Amino acid sequence: MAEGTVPSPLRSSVALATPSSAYLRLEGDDVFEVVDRLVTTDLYLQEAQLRQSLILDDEGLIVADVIVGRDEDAYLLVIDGPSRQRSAELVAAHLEGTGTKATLLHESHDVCALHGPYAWELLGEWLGPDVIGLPYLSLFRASGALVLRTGRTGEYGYDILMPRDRCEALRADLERRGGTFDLGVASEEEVHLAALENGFFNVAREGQRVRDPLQLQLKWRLSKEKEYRGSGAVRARWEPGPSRRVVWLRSDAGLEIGDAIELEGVAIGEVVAAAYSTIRGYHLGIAAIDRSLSCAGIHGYQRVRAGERAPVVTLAPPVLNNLSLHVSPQRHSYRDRASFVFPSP
Amino acid sequence: MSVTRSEVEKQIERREALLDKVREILVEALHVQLAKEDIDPDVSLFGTGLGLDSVDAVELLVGLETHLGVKLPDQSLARMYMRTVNTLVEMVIDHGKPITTDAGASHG
Repeated sequence: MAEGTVPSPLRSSVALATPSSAYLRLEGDDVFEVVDRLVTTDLYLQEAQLRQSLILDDEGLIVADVIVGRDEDAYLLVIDGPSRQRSAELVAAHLEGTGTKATLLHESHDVCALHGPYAWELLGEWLGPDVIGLPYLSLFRASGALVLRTGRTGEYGYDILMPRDRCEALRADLERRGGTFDLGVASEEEVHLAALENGFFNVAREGQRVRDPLQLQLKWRLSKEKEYRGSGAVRARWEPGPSRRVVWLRSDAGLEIGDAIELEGVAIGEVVAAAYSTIRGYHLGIAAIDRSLSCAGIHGYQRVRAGERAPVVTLAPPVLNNLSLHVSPQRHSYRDRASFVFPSP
Repeated sequence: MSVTRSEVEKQIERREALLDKVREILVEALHVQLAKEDIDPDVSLFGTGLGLDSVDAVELLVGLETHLGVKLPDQSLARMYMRTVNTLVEMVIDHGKPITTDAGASHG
């Protein structure tokens, strides 16, 4: 970390954020078949399990970043990319003529998120100790709230949906308990930066410039075994492979979305996401680069903006050693944090 | 400093050779149910992505030591490196035995 930089609560304690995701619950006799055709991943989920997936268009390009979860006989969708209204319309169009109905949980609930290496501890004191053991990518109900352990930052991370009639009391209780944990507030920009530092796909940033899941290194979210919207187009591109692929990069001279990336004066790609990483002390970005040259650990590329050139180095994310990797709910506590020596980020 | 395309291609060839070996360990020793070429370099190893678990982590470390000579001076480093396929390659570069590729250069 740069000397004198104060780590944000998201990286050092706990930060409260306000997600803009759409949260939907889908139920009906044919819900499995309906959701299975909507999302790109295999849908065989255990009770309370969540999985990262995508919704594509007919061209096999990304429309939305999705977390799909099984909640008894229903399925939950957490949708990022389109607005909440557009997400609801997208799902409603898919449900036409089926026996499945959608409930908009973001309308019936107040939604917040807790991110940070000690988020589990504050959550446990707030909603009860059972939530502490919640595995990554699973859901749980506690004190009337629905808790989804999503994690989009490399730290412990939870989305919490509180029923409207209880949210005032729950928020007041969170605020009261949060003081002990130096609870801060994380803006959407901070959450996006953390996602960039940790290599999480962000549909609101790089997903605006690159929509091909193969270019975005998201093959792992694409089932080869089933049909979904856009699956034919994806399969047609799979074998030849994408012309470009994303790679993370750093620069000491600044990066901006749209900057060209060159090798020996020849354009080989462009920057599709960029921010200044305060914890690393350099400009961090993602570039979509000609596939044969898209590789981490490469010295020799330059970013070009209005004729000005500066060297960049390609990287393998995550670019930091997250505190959450080392903080254990069985052994640590925010109150005793001074007693432990953790590796530097 | 000016770097030529041919020098960059040599850097990439060395890196790709290591990526290929790490993918081979994932498919052959850990039985990841993907073709080697379908494992993207920045895919997460645990939780999401390849969905490995703590038992796989031990197998992976054994495989990296056996096949690529990785010896970590401090086991706490394992958590930092065991994030993605690409960070495993960094682990091999930083703590593995030097290997020679067709490009004629070594790392280590």
